[in-house]
Amino acid sequence: MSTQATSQPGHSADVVVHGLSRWYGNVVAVNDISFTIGTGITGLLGPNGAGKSTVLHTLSGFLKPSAGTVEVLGEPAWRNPSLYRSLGLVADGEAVYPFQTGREFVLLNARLHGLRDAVQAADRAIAVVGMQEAQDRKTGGYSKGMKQRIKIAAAIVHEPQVLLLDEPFSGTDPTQRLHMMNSLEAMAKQGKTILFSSHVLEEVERLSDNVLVIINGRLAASGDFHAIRKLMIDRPHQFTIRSADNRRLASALMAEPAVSGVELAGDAISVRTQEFAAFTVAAPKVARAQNIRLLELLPTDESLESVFAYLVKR
Amino acid sequence: MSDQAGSIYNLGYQRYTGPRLGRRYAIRVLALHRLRACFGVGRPLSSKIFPIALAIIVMLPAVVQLGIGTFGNADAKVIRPENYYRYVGVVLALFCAAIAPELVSRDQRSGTLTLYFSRALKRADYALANFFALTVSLLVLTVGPQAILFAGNGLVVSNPASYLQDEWKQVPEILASSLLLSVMFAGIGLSVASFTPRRAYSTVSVLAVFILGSALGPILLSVSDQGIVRYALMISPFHVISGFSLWIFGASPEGNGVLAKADIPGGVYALEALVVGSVSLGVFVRRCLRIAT
Amino acid sequence: MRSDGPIDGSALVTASGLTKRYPKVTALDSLTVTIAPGIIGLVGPNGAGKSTFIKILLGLLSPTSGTATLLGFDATRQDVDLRQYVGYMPEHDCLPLEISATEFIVHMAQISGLPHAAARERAAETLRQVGLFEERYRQMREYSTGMKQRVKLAQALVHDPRLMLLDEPTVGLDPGGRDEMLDLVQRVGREFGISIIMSSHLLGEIERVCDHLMQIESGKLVRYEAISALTDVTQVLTVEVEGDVSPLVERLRNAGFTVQQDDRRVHVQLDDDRVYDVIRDTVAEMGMGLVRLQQQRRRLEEIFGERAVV
Repeated sequence: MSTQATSQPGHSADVVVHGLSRWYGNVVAVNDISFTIGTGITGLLGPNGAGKSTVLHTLSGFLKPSAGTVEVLGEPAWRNPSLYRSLGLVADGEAVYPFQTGREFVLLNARLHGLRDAVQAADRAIAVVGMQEAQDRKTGGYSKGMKQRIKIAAAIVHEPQVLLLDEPFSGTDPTQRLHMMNSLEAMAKQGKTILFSSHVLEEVERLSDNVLVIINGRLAASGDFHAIRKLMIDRPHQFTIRSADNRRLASALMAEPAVSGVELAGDAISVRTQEFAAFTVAAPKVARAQNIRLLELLPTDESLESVFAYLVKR
Repeated sequence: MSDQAGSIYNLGYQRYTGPRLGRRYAIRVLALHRLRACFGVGRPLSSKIFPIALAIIVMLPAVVQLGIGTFGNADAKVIRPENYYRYVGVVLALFCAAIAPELVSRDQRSGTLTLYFSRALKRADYALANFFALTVSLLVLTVGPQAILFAGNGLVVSNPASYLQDEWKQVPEILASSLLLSVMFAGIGLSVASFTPRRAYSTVSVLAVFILGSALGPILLSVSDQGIVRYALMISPFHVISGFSLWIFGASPEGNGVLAKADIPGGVYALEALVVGSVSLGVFVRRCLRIAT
Repeated sequence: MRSDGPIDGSALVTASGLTKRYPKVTALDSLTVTIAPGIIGLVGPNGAGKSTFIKILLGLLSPTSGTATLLGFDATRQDVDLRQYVGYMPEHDCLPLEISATEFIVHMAQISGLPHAAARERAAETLRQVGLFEERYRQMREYSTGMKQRVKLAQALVHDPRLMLLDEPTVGLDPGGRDEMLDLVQRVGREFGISIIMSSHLLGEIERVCDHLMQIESGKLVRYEAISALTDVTQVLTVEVEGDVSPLVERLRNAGFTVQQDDRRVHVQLDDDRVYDVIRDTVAEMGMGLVRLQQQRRRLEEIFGERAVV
């Protein structure tokens, strides 16, 4: 049974995937995946070999689905060259000619797209990725981060509506990454649809409005990961609380029906609860009733890493 | 201790408090490791086939000669120590071309070179360990058949004792000629192979040096056998080894052969072998010193 | 737990006027620093000199001028002896794929000076500690990226170094693999007592694992500081509640506190400890759910001008 996901209800659905499967002989790389992506930034996550690259390749039209449909901007993606007018792709790997300068590479792409204002478009794209200084050097001498940025410039030079990026931040240092993230966010605000895959959860957390998690070829989860977390009701939530009197607070909390376990750990209390909402309401009430000052209250497993680990184990 | 019902043992991290044997030990370990790698010892069958096959081929002329001596005329010395390498020179070059890349190109390709250089070795040590390994391997392939020949000839003769008395001089001669050949070939093989991480290219390059040189030498010689031009034969590795072999064993080149035509003193070939060996070793060491990791 | 010190009890690493010049670029420019034992994160833009610094410490490169010592050894003149006590995990691929992990690690241990018997024992132990079990007897050709990274770590660890230099140890690993690698690194540094210098582009990793930060830019040292100093608490309290947050904001402002609202979160100046009680009481009275109450810490990202993920 396919897992349906819609990331942006009410927005245009630029990418629609339905029942996508892809197999190689007996190996099923992607198994019955369906999702919709609209404007904004969506992060694509998953362990190695889970099927992320396969999904990206079908979206970019290089791979034919074994079953199901992949539509980008209303048209099937497979072998559809006219789609590339509105689609930009930044693939992993070294797809730049080392003897060209960065500028030449971007300009070449602009011309290949048949842009009438190719030179200005190239200038704009290079400015977006912050490569003005290095644009006249041969790409053979670029560091990995610089190659990434110039590839992004080449992919956005025709201002595509949909942008697909495969591990765009690998090899970039924090400053370069910040710059690229700002650029992508700006594009998203202009109404573009951006999908990027990454192994680094911090990056996805920072940048994406929504995530798609692919595990073992299946779509394990999608949407805002805070929302995903709340849906994981079969897993108890954990909170860390520090107060002026931990022990007394701990025993008072234990009396609450929403609380399933309390542990004293160092200078804090660790609380387990099956009812997220009920607990968040009960905790301050209990503290107030006991006249104990609350100093800190934190959900301990809200990070994307924690959510991801849970999804993988399922 | 005997009162305890049970114990839990500490499986945590243990410090190493034993001896650390330093650079010389590391070099020795690497040299032996490389020597074993030359013959595919400790590797799957595919790594052994080629070197073992070549080793067998290299022995064949000796075996053939012994056959002639035993079943035919004991005095018919078709294959002699001084012309042995004429028959097997190509085989030895093939060995070099196959094994040198295994020793030095592979490490570059896999990136393991960085790990070696970040351990208890200097870069030059790495080069020397490889040179030692390839030289010794070639020694095995050169001394081996010569030893078979020497011993075999002694056995077919009616009086082995007097054979030894007359021919003992061959022993240092065999060692000297084998050493010169091994050093020269190892040097050429390693210096050429060290410049590329791709084993296929290395193999072809090493072979090219041997084959082109050996083809070009006689061609240039045929242009003129007078004056300085005849020294052009010295670019031919196979003729060089024949040249110094003849000189070491005190024989003269065949009357109508290329060596006779060039008429270069045998000692010059020997000196050349030493020089080529040393210079190529230097090139190889320098390459290891400068290679980026 | 503080790591054991180096051989002669002095600083872990010292550099004095360390300079490396190439024809077109100066990779290191008179770098001077004294690094204490511990787990140190090395950060800086690409091309800033991090790799150059590490390679000079290892003796893989020689400096144009200046000196460096590592564990009390002179990095240039005593490099061979020094390397018996140092482990290096390069960023690039470096494993010979046609042999097994066991064979490889034993060999590497010996090349670092361990006698054969000790090399065999420690190789087995080290592979266990990095989490490689039956697969250690198979050719490394068949290993996944995660397994290869573990072997890389193992070869840096097998000879019981006093210091390990890790160059971007989590590159190419998926989130699960990254997590495991960072746990391993932490264990090595904190439990095994081995000092670590780890370079990374991911500040989250550095915050998680390291106790000191060394930042290089354009070949110069920008800072060398304890991470705790860079992530100390600020005087801002962040509150997050379920539902409409405006009543809380109003109540706090009326009580005279400086309040800033940011989407679902409220940031209050911690001028007075009474803030805690006002928040607790307001939330309790209104029956709102309190999801987060936390004194903000500075994040490493702020060094680079990034907005921290709050």
